[in-house]
Amino acid sequence: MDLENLWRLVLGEMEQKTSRANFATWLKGSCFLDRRDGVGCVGLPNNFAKEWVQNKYHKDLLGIIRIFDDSVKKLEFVVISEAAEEAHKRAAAAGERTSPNQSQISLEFRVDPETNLNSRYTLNSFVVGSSNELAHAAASAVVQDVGTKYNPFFVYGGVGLGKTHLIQAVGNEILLRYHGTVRPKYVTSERFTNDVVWAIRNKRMEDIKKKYRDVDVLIIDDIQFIGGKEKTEEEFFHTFNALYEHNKQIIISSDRPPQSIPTLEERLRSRFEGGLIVDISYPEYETRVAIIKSKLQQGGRLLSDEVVDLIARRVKKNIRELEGILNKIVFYQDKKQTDISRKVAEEIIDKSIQAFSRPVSDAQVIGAVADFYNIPTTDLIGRCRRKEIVEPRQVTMFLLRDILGLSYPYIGEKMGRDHTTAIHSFEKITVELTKNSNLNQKMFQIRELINKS
Amino acid sequence: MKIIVLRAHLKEGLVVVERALGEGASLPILKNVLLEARGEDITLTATNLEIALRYSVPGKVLEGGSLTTPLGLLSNIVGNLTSERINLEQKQQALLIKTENYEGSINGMPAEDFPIIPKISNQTEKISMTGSVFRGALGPVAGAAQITDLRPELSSVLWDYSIDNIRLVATDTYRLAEKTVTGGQYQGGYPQPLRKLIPLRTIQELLRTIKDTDEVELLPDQSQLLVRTKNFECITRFVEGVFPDYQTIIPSAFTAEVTLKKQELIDALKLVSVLGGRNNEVRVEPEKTLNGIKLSSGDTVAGENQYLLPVKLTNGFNRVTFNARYLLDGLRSLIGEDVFWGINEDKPALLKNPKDPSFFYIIAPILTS
Repeated sequence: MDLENLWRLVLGEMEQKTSRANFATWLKGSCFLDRRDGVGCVGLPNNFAKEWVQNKYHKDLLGIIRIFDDSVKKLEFVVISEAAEEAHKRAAAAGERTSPNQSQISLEFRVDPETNLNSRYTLNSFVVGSSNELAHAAASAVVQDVGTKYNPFFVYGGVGLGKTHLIQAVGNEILLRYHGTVRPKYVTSERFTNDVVWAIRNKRMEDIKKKYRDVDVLIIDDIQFIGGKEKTEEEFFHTFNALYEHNKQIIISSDRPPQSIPTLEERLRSRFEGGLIVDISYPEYETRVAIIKSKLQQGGRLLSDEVVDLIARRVKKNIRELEGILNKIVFYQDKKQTDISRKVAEEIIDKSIQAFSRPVSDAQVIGAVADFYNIPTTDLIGRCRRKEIVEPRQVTMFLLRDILGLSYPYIGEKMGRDHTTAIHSFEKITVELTKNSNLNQKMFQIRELINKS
Repeated sequence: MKIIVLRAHLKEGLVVVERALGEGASLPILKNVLLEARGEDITLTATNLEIALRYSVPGKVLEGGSLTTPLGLLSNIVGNLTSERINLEQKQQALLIKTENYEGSINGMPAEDFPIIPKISNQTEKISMTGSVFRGALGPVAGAAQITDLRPELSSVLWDYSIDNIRLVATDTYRLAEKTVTGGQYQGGYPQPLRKLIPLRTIQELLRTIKDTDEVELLPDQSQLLVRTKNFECITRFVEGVFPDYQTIIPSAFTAEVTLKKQELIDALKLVSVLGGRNNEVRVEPEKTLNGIKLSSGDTVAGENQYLLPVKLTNGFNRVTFNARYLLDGLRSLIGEDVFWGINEDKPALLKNPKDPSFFYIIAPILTS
């Protein structure tokens, strides 16, 4: 008989022996903790109950327990802290309601309210590969030489490639290195816009000016969103100038290079271009493997190399997505308590990725490539051997094979070429992709176009 | 049991132990007081199973014994008696009360049914201090705690003993007060550091009962604390839970620092906060020439007012908003004539007596944006 059932039976008997008030006062919340070498251990919610039960109910309890389990020869009593646990649970449940009010002294310190930096992001935890090593090197240089070397420092790259991680890490490193003598401040461009709007509404523009010009390092995330918001752009322009004049470091991130943010004003664009612009591109296979391994290490988990390889191969676009799928697989492994086989991992990845991919036709692929390289479809299909046509054509054939899985003879026919040309193109591009990051970048943009068409 | 006591002594004892009575106790005997006469001692005990209070009444014991009797009835009778001397006598389960011209009998319950008051087994490890040190340490701190069922660790005072000093801290997350009692102010000690939470209710009872002239002894064990003076004992459980890590939020630098007369600031705050609205908001900002700070409150609906406190400022700062009640609480818990006020724009401000490093009070500004 397990301890819980035994104690329930004992309490059932005790309830008949004592008055209701006594039972409720002294034995409610009690439990049977342990039974070893003939000694039973009874937990009681407080000292008063312990004293009382020990002195008044000891014999009764022992007698009743021995009816059910005669191996118990002796009882011990201890105080347990169930009441406190319960209160904690209630507090957790009510956590939403009592969530820290703005004017509270915040006693939890994840995000520093002064700098808005999340201490989770560090340069050490940033996995460096060929796709982002320039950005990483530049970031390290900015930390060394705040405000003078690369100012402004402009980082751009696709969704979920680590822009925010990198620029927040710069802020954190600066904080650490200069022990608070250099004050960084991180804001998203949305927050900046909100502040400006608030200031206009309340006629407190001066506050905003002071707030943003009184920092040593201003880090603005997702700058593309201020494009087209004139007053915000203007305020940012002035802030930028004020900081720049005083050799304060400015760090900016965006999802595309400044010249491709259509709504951005010319004078801002030229200012951004005055510093260092680096891009973070899609990570190549080795970096993805390194990222997966580092994530696994952080979480103290283990996956077979085969599965790691599979994930790295299948999820190419987005590190956040990579993390998501990794979490899913690790969760599955935890739940099943067995190692994940290649097949199971494949299923999980399929399920997660499928959601985004739609069926595409060969015409869509060809159209997208033609669009991207800005050449007419007729040129793409045909015998013309002009140099500027060669790469697009090879890319088309590669994509037809890779995305649609068409046969080489069919591809050859479609493109007005031989099947051997199709084979050669596919192999050539496959090799190129592993070493040419420029082509890699193009390939993703084309794939995006295909998905959008 | 047969005893003779003076009315004033008995009344005082009943008033003290009465505070342990809880509402809605499920056990009828918890409404009773335990009267005990042993040897020369007469004691009164009451408990609500969280805290137990025991008080010794001077008197003459003619015959030992013990019984329990409803506390409310007994204190009503004793309160209305006019005679100096009272005879108390046990007759089976009833208590007979006799004076020259009064005679009453209240039915009670046997002493064996009264809860057993837990004991501290280790009587040698203790700290003792004078009542004035005890009150001076806990009084100012207790005001910053919060009465809440949700977070028991905030409804208590942190007792942080570390060999050469004792730190007492309380917070309700809007403000925080810390008092350090240094080694010279108490005697004795425990072999290792002790970090425990004492329920706020216990602290309030102790502050009411213990007088400046008393000698206070504190004896802890793992789960409870005994506080006793010559004629009074209080045993209380510790609160389970972890006190927030508050060290990181103590401000070390300030945007502006002012030192001014405490009473002046109190008067100004009381005056200005009249228009502070429901949240008691008072705005603080430097006067343009840095020759004073301006306190203001109010809005366009209710009206507005402001008060200029002349004080020398070294540098200006942006307007900061405070809850005036919290500021006043902090100021009142300070001793001395002067007050140091460290102001930060969006971090907590700090109040202390410039001559007394042992106590400080920090308060979070109200962020308006």
